[in-house]
Amino acid sequence: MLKIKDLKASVEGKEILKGISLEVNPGEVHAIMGPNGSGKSTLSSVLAGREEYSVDGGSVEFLGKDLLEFAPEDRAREGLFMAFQYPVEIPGVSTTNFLKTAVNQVREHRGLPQLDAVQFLQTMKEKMKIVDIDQSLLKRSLNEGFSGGEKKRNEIFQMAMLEPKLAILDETDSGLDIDALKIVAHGVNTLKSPDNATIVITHYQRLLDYIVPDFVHVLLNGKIVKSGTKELAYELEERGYDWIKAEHANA
Amino acid sequence: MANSVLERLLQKPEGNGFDAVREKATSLIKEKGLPGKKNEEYKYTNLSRLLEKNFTDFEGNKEANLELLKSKIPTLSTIQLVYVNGNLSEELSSYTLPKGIELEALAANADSVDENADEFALLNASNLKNGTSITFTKGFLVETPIVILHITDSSKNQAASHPRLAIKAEENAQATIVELFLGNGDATSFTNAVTEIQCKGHSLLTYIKVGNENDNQLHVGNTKVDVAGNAVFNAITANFGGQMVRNNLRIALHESYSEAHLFGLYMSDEKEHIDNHTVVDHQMPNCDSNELYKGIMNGSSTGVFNGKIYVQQDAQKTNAFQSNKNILLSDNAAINTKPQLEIWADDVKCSHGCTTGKLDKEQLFYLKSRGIDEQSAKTLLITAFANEILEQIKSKEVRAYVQNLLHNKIGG
Ligand SMILES: Nc1ncnc2c1ncn2[C@@H]1O[C@H](COP(=O)(O)OP(=O)(O)O)[C@@H](O)[C@H]1O
Ligand SMILES: [Mg+2]
Repeated sequence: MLKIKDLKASVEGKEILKGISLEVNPGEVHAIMGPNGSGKSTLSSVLAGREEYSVDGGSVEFLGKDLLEFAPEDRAREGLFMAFQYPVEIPGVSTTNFLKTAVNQVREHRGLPQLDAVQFLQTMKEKMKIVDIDQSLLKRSLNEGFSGGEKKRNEIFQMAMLEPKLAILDETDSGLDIDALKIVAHGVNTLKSPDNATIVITHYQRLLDYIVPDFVHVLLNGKIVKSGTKELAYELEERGYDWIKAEHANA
Repeated sequence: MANSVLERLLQKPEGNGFDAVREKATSLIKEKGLPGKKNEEYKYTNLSRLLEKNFTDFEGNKEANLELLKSKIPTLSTIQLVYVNGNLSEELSSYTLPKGIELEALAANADSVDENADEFALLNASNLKNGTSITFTKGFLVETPIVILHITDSSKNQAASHPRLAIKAEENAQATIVELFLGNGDATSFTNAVTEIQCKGHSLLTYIKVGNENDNQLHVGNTKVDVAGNAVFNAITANFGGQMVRNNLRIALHESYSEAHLFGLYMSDEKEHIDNHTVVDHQMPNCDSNELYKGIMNGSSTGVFNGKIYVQQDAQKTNAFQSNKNILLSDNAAINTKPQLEIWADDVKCSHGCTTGKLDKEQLFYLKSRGIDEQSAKTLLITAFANEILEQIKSKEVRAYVQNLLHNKIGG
């Protein structure tokens, strides 16, 4: 589904991703872990098409197509979704407001019929249950005055509405208490299917107790330096990143 | 500017009761001349060169204007009065007036010609041959907004019009009045409107001015408002185009416990120029004024906002707030914004602020990352920005109409 080959990217002339290769297949959950500043958000931003990052080398194939050729909106329409680490506030635009446009533009791209106001509301109601989100929140200005948990639940709610093939969750767990974490994880697990895949970016192993990964990768200084199964996450939890840093420095 | 130009603009309409008014105004404007570049008030909006054209009288093309009425303003169910090039059109007006409104021909009053008036207001008076006076009678609550449409029709030749309207809300009256300015035709036209408003004690008047003129149109509007004690005056000024537009809105709070709320929305593109000058004159104690103007400039268009607040010596316990916010959609667009506060009283609360920026990149990326195309994402953000003004329009019909103008403007 996703084939990243030797991806290099920089921002403001600073090299951040230094050759990343990763393959994700339908039905899989991959976790990407790594210390602050290692390039996790940069990777998800480059995949989602954020303009200030320049791709300096490598390739990304998504569902057989060259992902890097697409504008951000076309990536979303093709089935890529990113839950932002820091979702932006948009005064005057509510979730309901922009999702109606988003859902229908995505559906049009996928050759599905448009949802009318009633159908859209029905779909919203179904998906709201998955992340236990209240309709009043969806009518408010996006993320304005939302708590950390509300912001992240809203991200997963949007994911549910847009039905992506590949979801990238960028530190969706950070700043969440255990109850909020469980709700978010429950949402992600409910949406999981053999046809779609998830990349969970996280700092801590804790989330992986609830969203169980098939593979764990360690990102360090712009490179994936180690890959393994969920046991690797436990090891990182116990020993921190220093031993990998040391290993990598010697290598 | 050349004398001959002024001479032409001063062409006297055939005589009637307004002779004295015209004569007085004509001698005043001849003395002053039209404002040129050196005039501080008009330094960003220099109309004199653009007015060097032959403007001739034209009564308008009825079929075309009827078509415009039907096709361009479908959401407004009733348009009470329609003026074409400054003349009331019997055919196009509906005259369906709810209770509590009196309509009269404007009375001629040479004393009302003020030598300190804006030059264009004087030019309007020097061309005065008719006008309309609308009175909302004492104690009446008029729920339906009264809509007045001005069409400047330059489909046959370059046309100038000098419409004049007097609006009065008597004691305890409540009403909403909309003045709508549209253009029809490809030749250059010049609309030079004057609207004089009186709000008597305890009245509540909402005045909505909407301009959606073509990019071959010049527009100057002078709106002068007197607000008496305990009265509330709301103004919403929305402009979506014109080659060069200048709105002068001058409000005097001349008795205690009066209020003025001024909202403005302007969106321009290509080479359009929209200039809003406002004056709020706090003359007496315990009055409030609150002002918010928002602008969106695209292409190589320019905007001007100049907001003056005067707090006179007697006007203790004044609350006066002003804010101007702008979005520049292109690198070639520009805004000149200038607040001017003159405060002579000591016990007052005043503030002003202005911001100018671009559409937020993070917000745009967020929306696009949800599958929304660039244009729709921009539309969502611009609409959100403008909604703060649009939601001040309480009439659903009028709001829908203005919203639609905004959407058309965003769509290009
Ligand atoms: N827009 C940006 N401008 C400048 N530097 C950036 C930008 N985005 C990321 N960086 C830098 O790139 C490095 C990786 O950042 P990031 O991808 O956010 O790491 P992570 O998500 O793993 O914490 C950091 O050194 C960060 O300072
Ligand atoms: Mg990050």
